[in-house]
Amino acid sequence: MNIDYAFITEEHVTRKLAFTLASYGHEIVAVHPPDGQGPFVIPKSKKEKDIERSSYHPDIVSIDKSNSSGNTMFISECKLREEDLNSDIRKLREFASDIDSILYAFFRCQLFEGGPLIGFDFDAISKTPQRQLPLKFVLAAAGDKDEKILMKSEINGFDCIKYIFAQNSLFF
Amino acid sequence: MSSFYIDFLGEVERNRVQTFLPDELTPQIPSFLVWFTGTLGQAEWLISHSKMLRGRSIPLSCPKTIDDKNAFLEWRDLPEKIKPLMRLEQPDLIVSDSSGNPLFSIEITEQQPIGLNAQQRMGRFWSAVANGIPSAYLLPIESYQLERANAGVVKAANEVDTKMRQASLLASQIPIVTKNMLIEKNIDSVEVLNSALEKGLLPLAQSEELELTSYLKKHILSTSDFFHIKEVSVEEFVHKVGNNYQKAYIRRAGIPGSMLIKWFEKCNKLTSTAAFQLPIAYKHLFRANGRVHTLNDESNPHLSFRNLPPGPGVSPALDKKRGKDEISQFFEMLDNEIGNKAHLDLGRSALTEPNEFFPDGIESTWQKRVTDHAEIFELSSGDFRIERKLFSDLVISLGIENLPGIQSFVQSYKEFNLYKIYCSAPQRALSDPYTGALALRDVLFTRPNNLDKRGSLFTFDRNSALIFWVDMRGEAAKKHSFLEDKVSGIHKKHFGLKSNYDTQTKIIEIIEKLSAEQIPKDLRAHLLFSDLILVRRILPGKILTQSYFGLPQLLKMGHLNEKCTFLESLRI
Repeated sequence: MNIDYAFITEEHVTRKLAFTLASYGHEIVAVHPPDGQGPFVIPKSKKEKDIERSSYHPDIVSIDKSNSSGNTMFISECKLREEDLNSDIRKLREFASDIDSILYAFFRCQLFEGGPLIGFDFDAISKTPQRQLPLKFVLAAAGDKDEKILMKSEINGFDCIKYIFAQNSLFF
Repeated sequence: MSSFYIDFLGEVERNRVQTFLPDELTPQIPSFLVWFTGTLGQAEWLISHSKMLRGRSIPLSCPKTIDDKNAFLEWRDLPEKIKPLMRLEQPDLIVSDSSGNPLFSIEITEQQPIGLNAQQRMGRFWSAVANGIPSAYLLPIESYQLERANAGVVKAANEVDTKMRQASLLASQIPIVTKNMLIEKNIDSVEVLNSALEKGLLPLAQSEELELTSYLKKHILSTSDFFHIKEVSVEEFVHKVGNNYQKAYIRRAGIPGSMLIKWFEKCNKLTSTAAFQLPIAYKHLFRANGRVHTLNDESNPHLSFRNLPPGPGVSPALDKKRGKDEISQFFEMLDNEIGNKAHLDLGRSALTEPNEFFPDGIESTWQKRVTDHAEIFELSSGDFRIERKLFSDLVISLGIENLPGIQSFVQSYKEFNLYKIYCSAPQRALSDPYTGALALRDVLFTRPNNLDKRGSLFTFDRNSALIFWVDMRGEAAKKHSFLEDKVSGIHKKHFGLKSNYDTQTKIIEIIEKLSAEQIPKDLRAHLLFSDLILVRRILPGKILTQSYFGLPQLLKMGHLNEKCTFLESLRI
């Protein structure tokens, strides 16, 4: 084990991931720092017996604008330790099974007059079958060495990319 | 550089201090420390944009509670002069010198003051003002909101006829106008509406015309002297999102916001304190409810992608004549106060200008003045102000006329402020938002309008009394620990079992001998700010009423003095 968790935090991972995604041509839409407030709140659909609806607060929301075939929305979750990502996988699967929540995320990233230059045509998105929506997920954590692993259709049929960042790459 | 030298601590290994600041901004011997309980990002944002702090400060995490072991220092090791600012509640940021002398206290929240969400943080500012420490609150005062559309708006969105749809949606968005009025006058856009208003074609009373003109000036035409956010385009007002309809609208600063702004205006006479509007932009309407954030900061890459407010100079000025944006003004205030310079005029009157952010006379809506105390019983919660005679009658109605000291209490004030809440969940702690809500009411309702610099919030020199009234219902009426069981638990923990003590005596001993952080948050501010705490347990067929005096009245009655441990622990 070449990692000393005493000197790094989840924020190191979140920040590294945001810079990494930006370097791949993503527009970073929102970041929810650990212990902080985040603006990109996605309501959960009301389930039976839920007294109060809760919401999703993704660590990073970004739009990959590098693909000529169109933009893709990326929802990312970060943890300091890789083994803690399992709870995020469960959370993302729950999110990916809830069409209202998915559409809400696209609604927040829509194009409109006076709005951002990068985004989605929400009317077109609303008519797209769930499995064909331009949506991908990212998981990230610190680990022994830098790794990028494609987890095909891992999140309810949507692709997920797992990034592991070595300790020295978290300080840049 | 492997270590820092911090005056009050000595040599500290560099890797003990977590920071993303680049080396050139982290001095080996810092002149200032930025203590944070929120995020490290906020501390580094503050350091990076402040002329006084940049290159001369380091961020240090501060324990959120006395048991928090994850911070840079544990509670017991914090500088003694920082602790009084942290005992009632913990501010996001405190700037101190390197010896640990506090210089400035800051709170940053993305939530607009709605209900009690922003008021709940006011205890932090109370501690700062009471100790003469300058402070600032950055928050969205006027903002956008996204929420599930109500049935009326959904109906408007589903009108088949285009003209009818436009008129219905406009009428849902803009005050004063009605759908029928717009259809009758053939108005299908805000431009046509404005033209019709200018030509006097709308059937409006003079006051309605003024209100509509003012709204259009602020949110459509942008011709007001102050910056207001742009009205949401009618095309973007309602969207069908999956199975639901969502609406995007301007949520104007309401009653809670006006109370908060007035609190700062009043306390600024004692100590420099101010609220600043966090920048809001239409461009970010859907992504962030309009909140503007630093995303990629090329000048300060360490601030990128951390959900931080923008830096100074990038947002429009709130007061167009002054020409300075809110973030610039905040940093001017901070640098000025840290630099010990004369107080600046920060243009805060923009926020209290009548009919700009708040309707003229909104103060009259803060409390309900009642003439019959039955009204208080009828309403489950609210703020009430009543005169002595009525309060005297109320005391009898409540059956507490024999409470020792109650008659002198009745006689000691001409007016009484009742802050009434209810609770039906037995496990619901009465901590947030009541700590801040009581701190706000202390200043706003009980203190003289012109706070005297020679006086102090600690003396509780009140013009009127403050009563915290809780109605316990349902299971809470049977099981909630507030207040007797709570007091007994704390008393037993610290002083052992004294079965001959009644609850009021225990309260006195707690205040006399315990420091504020030793009193749990769901009792702390209640004892500090309430002259009287009233708990009614509404049980089937009967109501049990319990009432106890809090610190302000106990001081007045001579049961406590100003040197009691609780109060002393809040002083620097």
